[in-house]
Amino acid sequence: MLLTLNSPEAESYRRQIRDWLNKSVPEPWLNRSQEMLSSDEELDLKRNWGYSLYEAGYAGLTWPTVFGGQGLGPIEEFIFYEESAKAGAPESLDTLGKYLAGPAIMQYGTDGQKVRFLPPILAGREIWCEGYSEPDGGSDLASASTTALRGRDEDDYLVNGRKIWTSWGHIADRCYLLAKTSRELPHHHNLSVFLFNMRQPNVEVRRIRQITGDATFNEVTFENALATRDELLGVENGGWSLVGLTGPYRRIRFALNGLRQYGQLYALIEQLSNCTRESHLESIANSFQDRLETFRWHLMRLVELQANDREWYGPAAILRLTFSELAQEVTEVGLTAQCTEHDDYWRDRFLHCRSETIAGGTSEIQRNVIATSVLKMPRFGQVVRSPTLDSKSSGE
Amino acid sequence: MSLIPSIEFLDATKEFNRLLESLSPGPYSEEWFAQPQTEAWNALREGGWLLAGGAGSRDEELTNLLELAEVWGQHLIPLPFSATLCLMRWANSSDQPSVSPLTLAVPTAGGSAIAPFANIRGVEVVCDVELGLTLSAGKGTSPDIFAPSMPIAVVDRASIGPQEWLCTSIALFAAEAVGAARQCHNRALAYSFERSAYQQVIGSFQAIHHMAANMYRDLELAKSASLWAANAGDLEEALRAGTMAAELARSVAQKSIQVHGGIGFTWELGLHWYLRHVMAVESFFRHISLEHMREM
Repeated sequence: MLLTLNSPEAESYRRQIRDWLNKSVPEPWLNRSQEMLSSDEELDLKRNWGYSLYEAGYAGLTWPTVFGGQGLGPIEEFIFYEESAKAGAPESLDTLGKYLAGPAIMQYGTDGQKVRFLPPILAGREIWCEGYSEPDGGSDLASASTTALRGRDEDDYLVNGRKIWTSWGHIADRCYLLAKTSRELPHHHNLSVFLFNMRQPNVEVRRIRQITGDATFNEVTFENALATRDELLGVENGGWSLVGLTGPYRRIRFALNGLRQYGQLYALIEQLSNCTRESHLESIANSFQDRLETFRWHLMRLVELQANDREWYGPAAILRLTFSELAQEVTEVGLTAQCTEHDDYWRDRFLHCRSETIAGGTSEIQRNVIATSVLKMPRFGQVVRSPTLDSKSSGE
Repeated sequence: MSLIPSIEFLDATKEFNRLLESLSPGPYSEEWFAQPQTEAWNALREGGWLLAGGAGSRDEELTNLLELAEVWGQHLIPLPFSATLCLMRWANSSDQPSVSPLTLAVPTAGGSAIAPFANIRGVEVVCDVELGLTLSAGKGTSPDIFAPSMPIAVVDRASIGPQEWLCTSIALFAAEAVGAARQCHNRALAYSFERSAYQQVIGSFQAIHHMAANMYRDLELAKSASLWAANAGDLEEALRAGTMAAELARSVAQKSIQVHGGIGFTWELGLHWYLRHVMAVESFFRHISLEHMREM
């Protein structure tokens, strides 16, 4: 496992990845700005990309070898994602399986669950969605009202309720489902996670058309749908701790999200630079390039902190906020670039990026989390004592 | 090079910090800034801190030195510590000895040259980086003392030498700016825990939470930008990175003033010394003329 990005070994690994990407990224994907892909074609292409990654040994780079992964570290993963961004590679469809369900199963699953679920996730053969948000819950996940209840002496659960903003729910085979398993226990202690089977008749998926015109997320309704005992992850009513993950798996998830965000920013800002060359907006595009480069160095620092078992949560906690607001700024400038050839692109990206400051917890929630979890600031109404700030060190 | 300092070096920076606390007890004032800092320089020399980069040893981990410069930036002692660290690293080791306060001079677009601290008695302006040749001390004129912790004076000519030494020094000055910003951030947080309004400490208000989160974000990114500067491939890139770090650091400092409210805007609180220091770093970067550097 690499410990630093600037080493001959890291360079050699980078060359290996670059060579593979250069010959493997599908032509139709690279040419899609000239020859548009239909939604179905794009879906197929991304699904196939997942298969290609698996066959080439690039799926689950940081998954332990015992679960079929490569057992590599965050630095190798960083290199892979950075080169993928530069090569314009697509993103596979199985991200929720690889970065959420998979790591959670490794950490909390039974042996049977590991054998049943991990191989198809790694191979891209089963697509997962995330069943967290509910129509009335907003960002307050602990207030879930979807129930998964079982009668006395019964093994299986009946699931009733609704989930919303479920990305890829319409094609998912499984759902990482958070549901209330007790009517009596208090908040946070009444939730469980299920490795829920989406392919059953009592699950209705309604596609939600977004402001972009696409429909990649959904509302999912459960009416007496079945969740078996074997699909319960961890212990009953212990689901809240599975939402955020802990230990090394939480680390992997944070870093990978940052790497995916870098890839998206890279594509946006490269396009903006192309569209604004020799125009009055060129200097603004250059300043975005500098902010992208700063984001890149921040990510590199983060993965080195992780690879060396240093405190990493604070630097990781700012990633989403930084990415989402920068992406929105870039698309706003793109809209005014007067590049007629890419007018459609910028309108689409502008609309698409509205979701970035909402999905996965709004920017306002992100800031609250940084304030309370990283900076240990008090909540409103809480009686406080001044913390002892280590005012002179960076804490690294 | 690694992007994180070694554990051993982090421990050392704590000791360095304790020394600086004893040397700059505060509160800062114009009178304090005007005093000679001979005692402080002697303490740095005796502690071995001026050779932390290893005299003539360019392979020492620059990341560690950045950490040191960041701690230095949290205090506002008007001495060219970062410049000396950089120059000691680049000069030939055989010529190192006096460990006087050293500074570097850069060309400006107007054709003149400027050097931080060059107006201060005892500070030597290095004219040939590799040979370690210095001009007479304290010859800088027309100093800009907008930030008394980093005055910038006009000098006769710019230092010469390989571009890398200036890249290193830009990275170290950027790290100083990060240190000043960290102090502003920590002071804002501490203040938000003490100050009450409407029967609540203001640190419990969501509006303050969000400002603190923004400060923290900018501080973290500023630190990463200083690492970028330290790893830049050429002078132009180092300046882009250093400027990014300084701009982000300024953003932290100005938000800190906002968190403090009216008292933050006063001279007597003293937060402005940090903001001014960061702005002086920014200004120094802005005045470096790449065009003239290339001609040297």
